[in-house]
Amino acid sequence: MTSRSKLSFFTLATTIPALVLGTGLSSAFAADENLTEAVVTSSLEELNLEITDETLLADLEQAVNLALDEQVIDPVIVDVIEQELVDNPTDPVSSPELSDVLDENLTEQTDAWEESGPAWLAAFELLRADFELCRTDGQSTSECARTFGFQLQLAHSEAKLAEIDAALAAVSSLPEEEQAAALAELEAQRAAFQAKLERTATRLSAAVATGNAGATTQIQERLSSVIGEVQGRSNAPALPEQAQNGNQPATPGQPSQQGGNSSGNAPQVPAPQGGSVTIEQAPGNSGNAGRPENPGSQGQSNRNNR
Amino acid sequence: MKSVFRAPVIGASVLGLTLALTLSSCASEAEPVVTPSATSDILTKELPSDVTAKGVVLAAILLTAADIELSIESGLVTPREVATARQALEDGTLDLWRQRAELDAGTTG
Repeated sequence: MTSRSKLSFFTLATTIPALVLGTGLSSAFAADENLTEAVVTSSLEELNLEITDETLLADLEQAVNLALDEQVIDPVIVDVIEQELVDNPTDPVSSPELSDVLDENLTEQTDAWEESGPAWLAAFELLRADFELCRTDGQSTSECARTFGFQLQLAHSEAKLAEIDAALAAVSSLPEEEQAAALAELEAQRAAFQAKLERTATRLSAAVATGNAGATTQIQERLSSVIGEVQGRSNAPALPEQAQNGNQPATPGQPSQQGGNSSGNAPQVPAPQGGSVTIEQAPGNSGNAGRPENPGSQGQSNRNNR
Repeated sequence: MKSVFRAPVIGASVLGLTLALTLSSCASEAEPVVTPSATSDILTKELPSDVTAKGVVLAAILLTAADIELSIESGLVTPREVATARQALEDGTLDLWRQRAELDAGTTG
């Protein structure tokens, strides 16, 4: 091989991979941008909104891009859009299938908000003073929301734990034949809640590692404590006869027999009296049968395991 | 003779009443009417510190395409913005929030 052909070969050998790599990377970027744009466009169409201001549109796309990064966008919707971007790249947002899944998600999420909204609003009020300070310092609403996201989740979780305790305490007041089903349902809710908190703990660890504002080791400790408390509630409360046989109920918010204590400086949600006692778990899950009547204790489907 | 003329009058009255009742029930199922005061209110009122019009529009988008609780946890929107978006969807004022968001975007530039 002559030196010129060696040079040519070398040039080809380095150029082609660079071209392929460059094309691949630029395609990846283009795909992400297209995905973000498609999510925003299709959602606005579903809502019958038309945005003409470029600045506003850019801000919304930036927020949705962040939502995609944090896996907040429904994965089914992402899958449908990604397929449409392949099948119909010139108009990926007009498919009836996409419209159906968006419509379904909107219904599901508005229903979910009806159930969970009051608790989130109440949790935010515990942080309002700090949030107002953040705004006074010149940060925008969205910046402050990002800063307080984990604290808000923590306040919400502590309230949720108090709800679980109240619901567990109410089981013994149900007719005996309904108690097993109620316990099974509460255990399913508790387990889903624990799984959700553990995912939050993972996100929080990553946020602490990258030095995100509002992600502190103190919040990590408090969240870990809440997870411990929730895990401790996995021993379902006693049926009346077992309660009388010596498993004393613990008062929520006070040192638990099984879990750690909640600690930290943020406001604590006052917990109702009552607590958990140890009992065998009831088999099966009979849906709504025997659901305890307890204000704020509502069934919650496991929507987050998608 | 009088009774012969009275029957069509009564029939017309019944028909009219039935029509009015039908129309009123149709109206109650129609799109909510956005009052001028509601329009002015949304476009001009001072918003609390935890609500922006842009946030309300974003909350509506996230209700459509995302998990709303995860959205709040991630700090993308505040609970009050979600509640406002939810209410706007119900009472047909979401486009007013869109207008407000565009006005605010133009102001802050």
